[in-house]
Amino acid sequence: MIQYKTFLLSKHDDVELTQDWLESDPQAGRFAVADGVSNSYHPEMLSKALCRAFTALGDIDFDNWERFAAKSMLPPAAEEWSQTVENYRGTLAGRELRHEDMRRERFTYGASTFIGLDLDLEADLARFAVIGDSTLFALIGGGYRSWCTSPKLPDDSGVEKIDFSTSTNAVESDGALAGRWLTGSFALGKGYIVLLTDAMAKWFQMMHFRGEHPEEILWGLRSNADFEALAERWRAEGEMDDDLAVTIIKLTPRFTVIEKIEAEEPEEVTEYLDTSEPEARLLPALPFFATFKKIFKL
Amino acid sequence: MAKYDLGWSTKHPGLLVYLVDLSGSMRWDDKIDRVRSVLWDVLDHTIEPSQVPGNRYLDNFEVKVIGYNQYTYDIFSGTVNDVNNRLNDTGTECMFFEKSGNLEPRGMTHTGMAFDKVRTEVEAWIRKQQAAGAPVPAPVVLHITDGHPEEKDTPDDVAYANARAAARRLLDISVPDGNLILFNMHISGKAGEGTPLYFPTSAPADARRKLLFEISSPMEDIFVKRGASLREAAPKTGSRFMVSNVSNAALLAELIKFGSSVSSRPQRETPID
Repeated sequence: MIQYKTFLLSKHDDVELTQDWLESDPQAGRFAVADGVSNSYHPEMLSKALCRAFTALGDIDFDNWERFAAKSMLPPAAEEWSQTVENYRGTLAGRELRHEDMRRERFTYGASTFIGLDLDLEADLARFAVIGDSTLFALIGGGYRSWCTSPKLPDDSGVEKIDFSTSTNAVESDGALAGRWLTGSFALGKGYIVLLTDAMAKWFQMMHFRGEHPEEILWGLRSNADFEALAERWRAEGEMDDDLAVTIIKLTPRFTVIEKIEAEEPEEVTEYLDTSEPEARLLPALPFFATFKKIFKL
Repeated sequence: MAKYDLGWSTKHPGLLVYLVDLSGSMRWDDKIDRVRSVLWDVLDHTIEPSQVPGNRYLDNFEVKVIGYNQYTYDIFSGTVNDVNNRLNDTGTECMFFEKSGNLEPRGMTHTGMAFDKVRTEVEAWIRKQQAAGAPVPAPVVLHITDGHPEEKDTPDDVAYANARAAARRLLDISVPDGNLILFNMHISGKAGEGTPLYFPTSAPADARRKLLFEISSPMEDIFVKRGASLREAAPKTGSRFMVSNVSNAALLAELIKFGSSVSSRPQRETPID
């Protein structure tokens, strides 16, 4: 069984303003997380466009990802970004439009980091493409692996850790790349896959190397309020002062279905809950989850 | 956490104080009009990054404009949205404040008293933020003057000492994000009237400039880096937040914009490769 949860939090407490975004298509086994780069033009529109373009893809050619993405994913994302920007500019006038112009002149294009993950349940395989400091973690079979395109540097004890302080790689709104994609694959097994934007990834790495289990902390969150409380706790220490996006996927063999566990949407219980399926019996053990969405692999 | 790394946000807004010399000499060579106009331009520019989708402006910093001669004047105090409303209300003249009544330049230059007024305002603001449980970004004070401390019936050396002592009290204001930043800007009347001096690294010989240097904040390396776009006026390692004999309005605006934005964003906001 594969279950997943998502959390998204704006640093301004206003999801309309968040530059982080995430999308998922459990039927296709697709998950995307993106983080618009602050010093760019309408990054919040690009992060959304990239996530949507990835989850809408048909068959993905990860073996030739760079060429494939340049042809099949980045053009529709660029088109959506361009159209959304123009629509927004059409709502502005006067000084407000001039401010918008100043921003466009300063930044010219949007930029966003990105993680795309595809779960192939037939092959028990996860394939991914990553660019920038949004980070993919796999904690499977007791192991710990992480992927992003920020450098890994040894700390004082020689342990290699991602350096989140350096310039980031990104996809730009015209489809160009700052930096290179990182692609790869790994076998599915019991454990967790976690897709995080940078502030969460930095926290996740720190907690892991402290000997804690950040994957279990995240999985244990029962509501958006829990997630906000976690963020507020760390913000008080100067961490997580950023938009935050989390997709955490729990893998429990055998991998035949992908289920989404959502919080605080009780009206959807009737719509999505199929009590004829055995997995629905998990509900009593997860009383705080309002929705238990089950989607079979096609 | 690194110094000056908190940045401004709605959860922890920043504070910009513009302290404007309203002594009599500011009337000459249209200096006060230049400052009123430049402030409009600077604030229009400074609130631009606060604009967000939905054509809204985030209140991620507050602005105080304080004038002084032998008195002090609360010219403006408000949030980003208050600034935006003021900018919209000024019409085609684009001057941030009126110069009539009390705000007409006249009298002396009681710099020490003005610094103490700013200190009172800043400390009250910090208390307000802390009471709300918010971390506090280091406040920034931009002092625009055309002269040097001159107090009624007081020898210059005493007026200088008063200014120096009050500046020290102001510079001692500290929050975990860093000490208050005091940027002193001396403007001159006409182009070529004096030799410009930008962000010196050592105390100038001239007594007036030496005082300004001594009462100006040292510049962190991150700010030196951010000031590279000022070209010939760019700061260097070891610079202080001080300029002198700036006559060009466009350059003055660039310098104030730089001073107004140095502490607004965290250091980790690095550009893409």
